[in-house]
Amino acid sequence: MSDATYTGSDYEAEFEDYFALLKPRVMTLVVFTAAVGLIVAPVYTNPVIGFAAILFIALGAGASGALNMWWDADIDAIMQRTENRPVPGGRISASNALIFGLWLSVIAIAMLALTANMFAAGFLAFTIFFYAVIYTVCLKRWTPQNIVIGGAAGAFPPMIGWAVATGGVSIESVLMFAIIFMWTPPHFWALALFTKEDYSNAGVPMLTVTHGRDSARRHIFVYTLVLAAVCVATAFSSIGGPVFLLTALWLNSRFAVRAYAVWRRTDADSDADKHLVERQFFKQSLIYLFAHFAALLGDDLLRFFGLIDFWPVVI
Amino acid sequence: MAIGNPHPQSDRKRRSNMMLGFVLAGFVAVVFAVTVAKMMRGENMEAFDHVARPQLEIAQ
Repeated sequence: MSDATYTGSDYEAEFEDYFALLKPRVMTLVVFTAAVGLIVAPVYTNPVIGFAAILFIALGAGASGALNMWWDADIDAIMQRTENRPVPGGRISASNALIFGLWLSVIAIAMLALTANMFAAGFLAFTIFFYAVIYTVCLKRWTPQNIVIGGAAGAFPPMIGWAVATGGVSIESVLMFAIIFMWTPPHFWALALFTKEDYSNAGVPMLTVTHGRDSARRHIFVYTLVLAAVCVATAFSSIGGPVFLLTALWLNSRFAVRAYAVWRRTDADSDADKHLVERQFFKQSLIYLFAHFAALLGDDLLRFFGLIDFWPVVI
Repeated sequence: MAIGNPHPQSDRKRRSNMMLGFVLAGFVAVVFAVTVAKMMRGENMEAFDHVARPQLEIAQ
C-alpha cells in the first residue's frame, strides 16, 4: 500500500466520502443476492430479522470495501477508473479508511451474530477476511488468477443469506455461489479489455497483462460456457423452476453469442469501434446476474402458491 | 456583528452531521425492531450473569 496519496490538506471528510468507501455499487449486488439467498431458503425468517441481517451483511461488505481501498490506495491513484476514490483523491487518509473498515467489520459481524446466528456471522467474518486479506493483500498483485479466486468473496453473500435462514450450507446455496463465482472472471476480464492500460500501468497482473488480450478473450468465452452449464443445473435444483430455466436459456444463449463475438475479435477491431462489443458484454453481464437471481425469486413465488410442484428436482 | 456562520464549509459539516445522526437513529431503530421481533418469537430473555442460574441449564 501507499502512504503517498493523502494530501493532508484542511479538507474535512464528509459523510459522502465515508459512504463512498463502502463501494455502494458493489453493495447493491451484495444486498440483492444475499436477500435472494435468504428468501429462497426453505426455512421461514421473520421479516424484521431478515431485513436487519441483510443490512449487516451489506455493512460487512462495505467494511471489506473500505479495507480494500486502504490497501490499494497506491494503485487506485494510478488507475483512471479509481483515481477519484476517497483515499487516492485525498479526501480520507489511508489510516482512517483502515480504522473505519475494521470497526465496521466488528460491528457487522457482532450484529449479525446477535440478529441471526453464529454460523452466518462466522461466514461473514470469513468473507471479509477473504476479500480484504486473501484477495486484496495476497492475490491481486501476485497472480493473474486474482479475479478467479478472489471472485469467491463476492459469491459468498447468497450463501450467508441462506445461512441466516437455515444456519448452514447446502447444495442450493453452493449453486448460487457457483453462479456468481463463474460470472465474476468474464465480467472483470471484459472490463480489463476496455480499460486497457489501467491495470498494466498499475502493475496488477490481470490476465490481459500477463497472458495477453487474446488469451483473456478466449478465457471469457470458456468461462461463459461453464457458467451456462451451472445456471441450467441450478434450474433443476430445489430453488430452480421454469422461470429460472427460461431465464437461463434466454440470457445464457445471448451471453454466449456475445462472448463468442468478444473472442473472435482482434484488438484492432476493438480499437476501431472503441471496444463496443466488450462494453456491451460488460453491461449485459450486470443485467445477467440480477435477472438470474430475480428469476429465483419468481420461482420461489410460484412454489409458494404450489404452482410448480411438478418441477423435477434432480440436484 | 452578525451571529451565524456564512462559511460554506459549515453547511457541509452540518449536512454530514445530520446524515450521521440519521444513520445512528436508524441503527437504534433496527436494534429495537430486532429486539421486539425476538421477544415476540418467545426467545429466552435471561442470560448468564455470573451467578448460578439453574433455570438456564439445558435439561438432560
